[in-house]
Amino acid sequence: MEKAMIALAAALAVGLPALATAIAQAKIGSAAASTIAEKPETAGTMIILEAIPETMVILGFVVAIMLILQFA
Amino acid sequence: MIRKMIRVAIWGLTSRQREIVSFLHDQGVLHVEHGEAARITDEEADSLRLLRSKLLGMIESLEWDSWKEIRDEDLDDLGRNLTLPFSQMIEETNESLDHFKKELSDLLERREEARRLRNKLKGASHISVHFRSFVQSENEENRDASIWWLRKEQVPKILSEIQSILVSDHSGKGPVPELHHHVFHIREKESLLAVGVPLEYRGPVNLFLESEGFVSWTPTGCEPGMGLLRCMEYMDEKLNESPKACDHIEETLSGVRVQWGSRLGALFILIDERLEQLVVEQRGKDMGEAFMLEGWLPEDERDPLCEKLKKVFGDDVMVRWRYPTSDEWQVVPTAISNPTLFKPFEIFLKLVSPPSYRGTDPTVMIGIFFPFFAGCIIGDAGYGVVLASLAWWLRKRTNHPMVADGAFVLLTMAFWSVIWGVIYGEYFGDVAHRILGVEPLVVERSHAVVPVLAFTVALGLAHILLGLALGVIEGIKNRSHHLWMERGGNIVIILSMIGALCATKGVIPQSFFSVSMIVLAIGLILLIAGGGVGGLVESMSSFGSILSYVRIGAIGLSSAILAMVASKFVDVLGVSFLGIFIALAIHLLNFVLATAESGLHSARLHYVEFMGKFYSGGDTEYRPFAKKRRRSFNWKKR
Repeated sequence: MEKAMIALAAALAVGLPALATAIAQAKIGSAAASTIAEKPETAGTMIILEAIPETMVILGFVVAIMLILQFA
Repeated sequence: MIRKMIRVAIWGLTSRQREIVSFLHDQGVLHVEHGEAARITDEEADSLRLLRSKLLGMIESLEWDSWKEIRDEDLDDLGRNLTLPFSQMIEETNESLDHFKKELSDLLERREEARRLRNKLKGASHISVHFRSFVQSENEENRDASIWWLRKEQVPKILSEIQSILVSDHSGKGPVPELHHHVFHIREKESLLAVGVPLEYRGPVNLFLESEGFVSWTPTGCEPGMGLLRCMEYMDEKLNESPKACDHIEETLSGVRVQWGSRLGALFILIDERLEQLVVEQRGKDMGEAFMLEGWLPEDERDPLCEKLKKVFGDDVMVRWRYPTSDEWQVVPTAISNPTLFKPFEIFLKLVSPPSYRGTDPTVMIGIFFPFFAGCIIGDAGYGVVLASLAWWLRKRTNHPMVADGAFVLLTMAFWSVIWGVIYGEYFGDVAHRILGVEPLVVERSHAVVPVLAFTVALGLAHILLGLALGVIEGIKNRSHHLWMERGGNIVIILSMIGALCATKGVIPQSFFSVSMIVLAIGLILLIAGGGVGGLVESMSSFGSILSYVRIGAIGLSSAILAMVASKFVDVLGVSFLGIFIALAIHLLNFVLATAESGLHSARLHYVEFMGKFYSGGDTEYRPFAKKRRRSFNWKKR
């Protein structure tokens, strides 16, 4: 039971930030598409901006790994 | 490295002004603040602008876009031939262009006409398909057939009225003549009605339909007197011939394009350059017999330029120079110059505004840390070798400088990938370990997760401290107390917190904890003095930035796990075609993901976390008055 809870916690640690990241990236992506359509030279900047919310899921992944390594 | 700039004033005799400006244009080192938008109300300039627009219009009409074919040597040859005085050159060029324009317009008109006819024939042919068999059978029965435009709802009424005409005109001998018809609905409300009647009834029926205001349909290209069927056959012949006619015109146009395109393009570039020279000429201050031209020059270009000016113009030119004053720092253009090894990394500055003249050029730092981080994320010697091969191939194949620079950046990433791959013992995941028993040189990252993550955070700490240190230097250089105090305060706070943490964990003696707290207080004072309360928020974000570097380890770890998953498929499915295929497919996916993610996240760490600590852009880029745009393709957009 305890292991299952740890697994659930790890899954939530990755899953919830992944969801948040997906929502943020979707919004950035659509805005970026509009921007690039008008100013193609901003493509590089837009790709960098698209990567910004990934911090959440990466930190979530690290937390999940720590949970598993520490308690499982 | 940001090149040191000087303000130069070039004095010369007005009689030699054009010659001197042309010489400076050839040298291509002086930055003159004029810009393309500079409007000068000069008759010659207006004529040149008109000529330039005319040329551009003709180039676009000609549908020529092979700017790459224009060689610098061709431009120089053409330039040497254009030695006539300005007004005469403009007049003669205009005359030649008008003559050529007429020929080109004729050709384009012919092409347009041929295309129009072809489209009409196609449309008519599409209609005639529906009536051909009807007309043919009517002809065979020696009856008249005609086709009429009318509205859909009118068809029954018109048919009954034609039938009435046939009945009323009937002599009474024999049966009443038959009315044949065929309807084709073109659109929702529009129809074509084919009517077939005996020949002797043609007159009354046609008269009736015309009196009702209906228009008869005849195939395109039909001549008077031709029967409807012959018209259709004639139209088919024309339609079959039309591609040949179009192709012939297209071939002629293509020949003209090849013959004249590059010439017009070269002429356009020369006119554009002449116009730029003229703008610069007009920017010079007129002082009667002398003129003065001011601009910015990299200091290392000063002596060579002065020597050349002296050699060509002797005492007719005088150059004075000085260093920019602090008031001018904001307007000095920024020229960047880096060692060959780091030059390709200047592409990273294309995404941000040029660094300020008194700021710091981060190219060398990016050149060191970007491939190091990206290589650490990929961390696989096998992937590194593949990436190196691809980058090498790309570098050899491309002629585009920016792509070549990008390929070089990929090469450096590949180099560090191999190094980190050896450290982690990863060669296409664990393939080398399975087959050859290769062990990691230092640590296997999928087994030592926490140490690897801690190492990446340490990397982040070092990188952020470096960024803050550069911020302190920039603050001192620009005499900005707020900047250096805030950045310095940040450094002190971070170091004191680390000291306190180490003391708490027993890494250093406990007594250092109080020292750390005193240092923290000093840091806070510096921070608030420099950045106010907002500085505290900035300080917190620095810790966030350091933690953000954990992505180097995390993404690398996920990549390593995915590589091992690929190998597992061979375990599960055996050394079979399917097992090897799936393993290769996953390795390919992992390679693409690892390369893209490593580049993207390393770039992000530099742009957001690192450069945010010291980089101040927004200055003007050094764009010398030169023939620099010959190989670029921006002219059309102006």
